[in-house]
Amino acid sequence: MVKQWFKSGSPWIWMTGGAVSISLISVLGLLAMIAWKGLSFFWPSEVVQFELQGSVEKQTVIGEIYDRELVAKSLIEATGVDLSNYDKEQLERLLIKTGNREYVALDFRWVLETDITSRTAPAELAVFERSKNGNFYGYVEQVIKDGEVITDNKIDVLYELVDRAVDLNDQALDLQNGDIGHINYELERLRLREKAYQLDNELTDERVAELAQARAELRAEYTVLEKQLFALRKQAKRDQVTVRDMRGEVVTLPLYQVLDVWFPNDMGFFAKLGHYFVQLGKFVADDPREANTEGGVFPAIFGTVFMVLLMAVIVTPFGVVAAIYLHEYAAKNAVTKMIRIAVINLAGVPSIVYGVFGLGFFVYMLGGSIDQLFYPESSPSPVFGTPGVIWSALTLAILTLPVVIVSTEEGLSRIPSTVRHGSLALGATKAETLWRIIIPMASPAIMTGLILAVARAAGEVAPLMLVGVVKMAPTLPLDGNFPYIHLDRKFMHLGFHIYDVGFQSPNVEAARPLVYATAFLLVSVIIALNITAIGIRNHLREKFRALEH
Amino acid sequence: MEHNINKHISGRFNEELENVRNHVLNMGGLVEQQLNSALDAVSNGDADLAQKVRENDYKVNAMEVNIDEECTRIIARRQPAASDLRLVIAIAKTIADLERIGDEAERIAKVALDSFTKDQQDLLVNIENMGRQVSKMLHDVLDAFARMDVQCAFEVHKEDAKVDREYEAITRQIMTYMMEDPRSIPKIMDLVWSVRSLERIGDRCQNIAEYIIYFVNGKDIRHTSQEDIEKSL
Amino acid sequence: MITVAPQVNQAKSAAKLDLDNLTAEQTALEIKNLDLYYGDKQALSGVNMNIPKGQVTAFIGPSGCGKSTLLRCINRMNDLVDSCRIDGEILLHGHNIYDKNVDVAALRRNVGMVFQRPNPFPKSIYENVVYGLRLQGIKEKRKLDEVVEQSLRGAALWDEVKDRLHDSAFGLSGGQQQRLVIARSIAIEPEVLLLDEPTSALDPISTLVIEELINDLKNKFTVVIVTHNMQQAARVSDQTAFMYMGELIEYSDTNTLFTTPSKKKTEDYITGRYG
Repeated sequence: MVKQWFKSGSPWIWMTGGAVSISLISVLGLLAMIAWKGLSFFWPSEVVQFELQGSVEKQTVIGEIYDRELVAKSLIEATGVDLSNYDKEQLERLLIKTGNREYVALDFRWVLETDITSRTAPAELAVFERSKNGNFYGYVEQVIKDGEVITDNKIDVLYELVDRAVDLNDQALDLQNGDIGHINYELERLRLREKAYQLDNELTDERVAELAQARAELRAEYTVLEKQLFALRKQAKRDQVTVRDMRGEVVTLPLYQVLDVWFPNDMGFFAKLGHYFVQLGKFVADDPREANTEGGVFPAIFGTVFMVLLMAVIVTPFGVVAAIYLHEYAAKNAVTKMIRIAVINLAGVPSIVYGVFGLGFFVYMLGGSIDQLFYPESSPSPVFGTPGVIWSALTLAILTLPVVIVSTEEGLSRIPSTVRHGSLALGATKAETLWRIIIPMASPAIMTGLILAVARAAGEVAPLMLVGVVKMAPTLPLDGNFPYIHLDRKFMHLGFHIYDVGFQSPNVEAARPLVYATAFLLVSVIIALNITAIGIRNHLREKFRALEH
Repeated sequence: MEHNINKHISGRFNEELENVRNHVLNMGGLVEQQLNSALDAVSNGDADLAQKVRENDYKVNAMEVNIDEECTRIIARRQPAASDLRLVIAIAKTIADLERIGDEAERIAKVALDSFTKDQQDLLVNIENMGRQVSKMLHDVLDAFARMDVQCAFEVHKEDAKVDREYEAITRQIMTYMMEDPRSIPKIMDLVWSVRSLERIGDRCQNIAEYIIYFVNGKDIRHTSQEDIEKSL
Repeated sequence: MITVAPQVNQAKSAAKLDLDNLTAEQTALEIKNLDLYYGDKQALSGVNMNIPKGQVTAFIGPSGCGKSTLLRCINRMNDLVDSCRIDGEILLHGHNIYDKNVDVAALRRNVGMVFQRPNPFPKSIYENVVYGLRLQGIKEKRKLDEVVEQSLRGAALWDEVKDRLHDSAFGLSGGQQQRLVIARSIAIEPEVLLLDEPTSALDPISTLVIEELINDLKNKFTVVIVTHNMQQAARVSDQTAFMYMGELIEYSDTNTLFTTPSKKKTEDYITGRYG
């Protein structure tokens, strides 16, 4: 019986099927976990008001329930808490996010189940999202518009005023980063130009005058803009709101610090859903705040995608050309074989080694030389002689080069020799055959290599920490200032962002959901990049499908 | 099944089959002409014509050799199958029979070289009648060949029985004549041979008719009774 | 009667070429004392033959007899094999194609080749046909259109594809693809067209269509065909060369070779007694 069963091959099928199922379950499980943990963060959770008495003095605590856990009674008793009239072995304690960071010692605190005398969720409880010091929880007391207390519909007016403040802040920020940033950039360029003239001994009086004039013009422009900026800021500072917090004290919040306000206990499902998507949108599109623990991750997304695309642009031609030489032109001897083995082995080198190499070779040697040759005026501050996005892209390009070479070579060797001969027999030279026939036919394989390269590069963090990634980059590598693409700039990266938020932030507890959300985003970005590449490859494959048989 | 030899993908094969068929028809025409000339020579006692018939026989022979070679070439180069194969085989056999008919015509023409008495002239008239009948058979069978007409071929096939009866009648008559006048036997023997030749020509026409039926219907009807043939058609 | 027989044969032999003594106008290619080695192994030894112009010449023989190798010598496709070494000459217009200063690409434009398996390029039908012209830098749309129609007509494919010239060549059937490849080769108007087992990957009907096409092609080109199917050689060729173990055993007009071969080896091979 058993022998028959073995003979039938079913154990083999079960084994292989089982292996596939396990991999599938682990991959899907991982995705589901980070998706759940990350995405649920944006759901407006209930804000609860607890009245506490027992091991602590009588007090009120307002906040979101962040976590809960069971602890042994003996452990709690060991800290000197009297639990004699509690008869279970374990008791629950809740982690409450209380916010109001500047007024309470801890914005997260544990609350024992036994201490809770009452638990309510009043609809009037408001959550203020602020640009500084995190969330604020409390009851709205007074809405003060331009020094005047609003009595009618104060909540509606509050919404209106918050929108206005946010709007003005945005305008101010745009002005600051856009026009004023542009003027600063131009001034810096003028300074560098002056210095360059000086170095070349070409700084004539005429030029000095010219530069001075340009500078004066920019300064004048700057003064005007600065006035506008101050005006905007002043306008934004007009309104306040007073809020009673959990200590029962009334606190005045200037509205220019408030980004959003909502009443989670008063929201229906659809209101919550709407709020959820607004928050999600902010996460994807906004800049980070508060040492990356708040706000969005847009610069990191942008940096990741930009760096990966830049890497793809660099690695593809290099890899393809190298593969073509190895496969088409190199003599088929031991040296070629050695080179090929070396290339394959390169793929196995730990990525941090590439980081060190990138820092030593690209940043210091290459970048340093470029600075000496082309940017002597900006010394001692380096331009390319410091980690930057181009060096990161180059380092990752070297890291992923073997993948592209190997899969391109694979593709080249799969092209039937009859097609090659067909072209040669029509009087084409080898180079013409390569350009017109072979490379187009190998393009699906090249795309496969690129897909693998992108997947690897997007997930790589360690080498980037040495050659260009920073915790917080003030500017994107792409903006409206000439020459628009700034390959020398440092950039933010989702992978590094995860590391930074998860391990380097002052408030690890608060940042944990962000870590998941960012991780989920990173995975999504990689998947999106891959799906695009796979789509292109499938299109190409369809075009050249005769290869397959 | 329709037999259209002009529907091959290979144009050259079409051409070759068409050519060999035309050559057979040419050869048939020549043989027919030879036979008619021989008969004319006999009935008119035209020695010159008879001589011409005898000289022209080489043309028939050369044609047979040529067509034979063509058939060999077609078999070697085209590997004909089914109706093409039957056609080539039928042609190869037909030309052999035609060549023999040519030979028989030559033999008949020999009679015209002799001179005959008045009595013997009567015998000649009978032979001439039989000759015309055989000549018509040849004409009909060639016609049937040209059109690949089974019905026509079958008519020719049946005709042979009449020729055989005629042959017996003439033979009897000649035998009677020889018994009456033994001295004439050497000369009359030529007559006997020519009658015999005519009878053979009839048989060969019948063979050709069989080949036609073989080609068109794919049925071998040799050595079969008339009734069975009729049923099978 | 006996006197007429030679007369008939004489009439036939007038059309037959004397392959050993072709005039310059009758000759397309002369192969002289050709030896070919793959490394240490000799693949062709002492091949001598004249290939007549405007006719179909077939190479037959068992596998590995060197017939394809010989064919590939004619447009120097053997150059692609690293270990290949060639002695002897192949003369085209009286010039040795193995001379040092010969432009191989130009030679291949003049001596086209069609391979065993249809190998259309991953392009449209139109682009496949004009590939050779584009290589020569011809860009005029009118000229290209004209050549496409001419070549496709020449390859008996025009009527089947004229409405989908810009569709992928891979949409065609095997036989059509092979005719497309032939069209592609004749588009650059070579003098000689080499066919290396052009129908071995095709079904019988497509094979017959190609054979018929070969018969038309010889009006404009000299055709040399290698085939492992000797019936095919019998059907399409005017001259047939039988090769065995790298040597040319017998070379004569097809009728003679297939009806009365002069060598025992030839007879054995074509009658299926080989081995």
